[in-house]
Amino acid sequence: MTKIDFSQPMRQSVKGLFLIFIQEGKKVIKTFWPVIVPVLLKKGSHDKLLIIGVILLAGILLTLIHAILYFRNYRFHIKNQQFILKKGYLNKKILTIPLNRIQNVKTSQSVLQQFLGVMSLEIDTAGTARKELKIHALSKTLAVQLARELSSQLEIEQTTDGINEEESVSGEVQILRLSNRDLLKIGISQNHFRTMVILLLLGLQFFNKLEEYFEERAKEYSYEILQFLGESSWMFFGLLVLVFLLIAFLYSMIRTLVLFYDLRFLKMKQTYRIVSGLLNKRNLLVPFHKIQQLDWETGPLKKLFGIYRVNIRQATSDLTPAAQLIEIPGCLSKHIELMKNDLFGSDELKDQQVIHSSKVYFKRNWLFLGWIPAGLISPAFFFEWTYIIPALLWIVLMGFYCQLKQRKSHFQIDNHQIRVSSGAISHKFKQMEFHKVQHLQFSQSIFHKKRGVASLKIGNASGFIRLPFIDDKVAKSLYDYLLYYAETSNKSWM
Amino acid sequence: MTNDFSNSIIPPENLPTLEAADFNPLDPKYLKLIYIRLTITSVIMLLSGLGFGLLVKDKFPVFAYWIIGGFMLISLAYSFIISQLSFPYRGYLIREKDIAYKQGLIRFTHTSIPFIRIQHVELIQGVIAKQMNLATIKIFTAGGSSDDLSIPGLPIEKARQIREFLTGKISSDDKD
Repeated sequence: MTKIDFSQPMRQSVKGLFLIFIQEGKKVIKTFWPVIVPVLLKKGSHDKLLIIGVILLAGILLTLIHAILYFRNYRFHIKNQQFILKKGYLNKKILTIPLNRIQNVKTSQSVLQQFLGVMSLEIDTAGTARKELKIHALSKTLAVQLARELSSQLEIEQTTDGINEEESVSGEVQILRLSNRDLLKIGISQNHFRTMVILLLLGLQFFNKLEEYFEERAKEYSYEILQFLGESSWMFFGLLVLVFLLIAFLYSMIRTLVLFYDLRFLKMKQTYRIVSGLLNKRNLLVPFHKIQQLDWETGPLKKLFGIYRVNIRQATSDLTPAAQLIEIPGCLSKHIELMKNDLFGSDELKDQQVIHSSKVYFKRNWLFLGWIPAGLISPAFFFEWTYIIPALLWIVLMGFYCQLKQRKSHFQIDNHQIRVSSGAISHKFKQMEFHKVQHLQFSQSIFHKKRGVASLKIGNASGFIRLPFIDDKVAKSLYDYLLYYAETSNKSWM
Repeated sequence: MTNDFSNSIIPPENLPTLEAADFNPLDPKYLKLIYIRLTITSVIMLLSGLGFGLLVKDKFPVFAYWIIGGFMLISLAYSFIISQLSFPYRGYLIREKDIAYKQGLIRFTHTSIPFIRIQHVELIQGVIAKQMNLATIKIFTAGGSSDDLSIPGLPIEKARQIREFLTGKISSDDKD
């Protein structure tokens, strides 16, 4: 491969013009669809087709001009150990990133990009959130070389061959590869109730949006639906829940397939590499020292299959959870042991004493989740006394739930690291080393002061770990110790 | 439990502890600023509540308005009282290697960030705060976490001083 000179300002691949056009077109449609849809749906105008045609043509033309101007004014180069990106034709913008501030460089390819033979390159800097640092259309060779150039300051450069696509590098060990059967297990053992709630909320949001435009119609329909619901029995309600669960189940299966198809989890010296995806192949490099925290989780169904979901958390500027945590579903316990050993050394926490959250944690949770919601609907008892039964049932149910939560809330520490357990129905673990600590919060309400209970929040560059309702003396001395540890440690934390 | 706990960790002798008494109080003028802000929000809330009430005058029974109005008044009075009572509990502390902020009467919290973990520091001044020569210092750490530290109610000279001090600390500790 010929070496490309990055010191001269350069543009994206010309093929990318099409991509930019599509992208900007999408943005235009996204912003203007509330205006466009009513026009399209308006009845009775004679030259409707003509109007639509004119709007469409004007839209396409304007977007095309915009895309060309955008493309021509989008330039980047590397100078004085800085990556400089200039963009915009009306509002000119110059972004400068010192190479040593770069945390991670990612390349990816969507279906369309694969078709066009271009790649996205994303630069990750910890600190402030910046979404603009993604170049969408680079030719493959350029992307690979630029990624290598940019990550020259990172340690991974020496260990792996930059961002190599498919081929595995010699010396790389495969830890885990998910087969289609594994994917099936993972899909089945997702939390379908949570997915259902998310989908329902999304649906409601969509319904609200629709309602704004078709207000009268929607009112009519929703009245009919309500009437229908009122008249029909509990059976129907149960059936509805079942249908939604089925939809949620299908959704989980598809999501699992799309995200984790042919997932390969590889290790080379001090770096993990994760390759996965059906439509969008992602290829992530994670150097060990960038990892802030390791989470693993199992649930009733996952337990049945003996699988865990692992999340590797690292520091990023991107605030979306997807960027901060790298999900590896379908790990077996031996994989977790291996990762723990890689990241935290031999497991010394195992023999440490388990410190539980106080009983106060249970009482407070039960009060907030059980008694207060039941109390809030109590005025309804005056109208229909039978409502007492579900309310009581709710309190009992929440009692059990909070009991489970209480039992799983504990942690273990040694001189250098902490492992925290939490969860109610599922069981979650989080582990981190103390030199990653960057922020500490101690909190205590006046009701809990005399009981000697307090909570501690331990922050790292990827989020935080909470120790709820522990002995306040323990919390205080941990606070002082961790602060001391972070201030005296000279290990790199990011 | 505590005894077992200290068996597992061996802290060095005389580990510095964070004592509530050592904290510096905020500028008393900041309490005035809180009152002004609360008054503005109350006036807006009450006016819009009144406007809304007049608009839908006949749609709900009268007692509903009394309940909502009463609820609004009580919550406003509560904010005033709690701001006054909790003010002495607010404070900040700068030590040799870290910065801390404490607050809260009903739920007391204190937060610390070591200097070596600070990414950048901002000085913020609102319109009213500018008139009163007050400023807020915001301290950001990596990862864009929302739980960064901010210290309100500092006299502007003091705030500038702290910012200079902290930025000095960051660049002197920056090795890369």
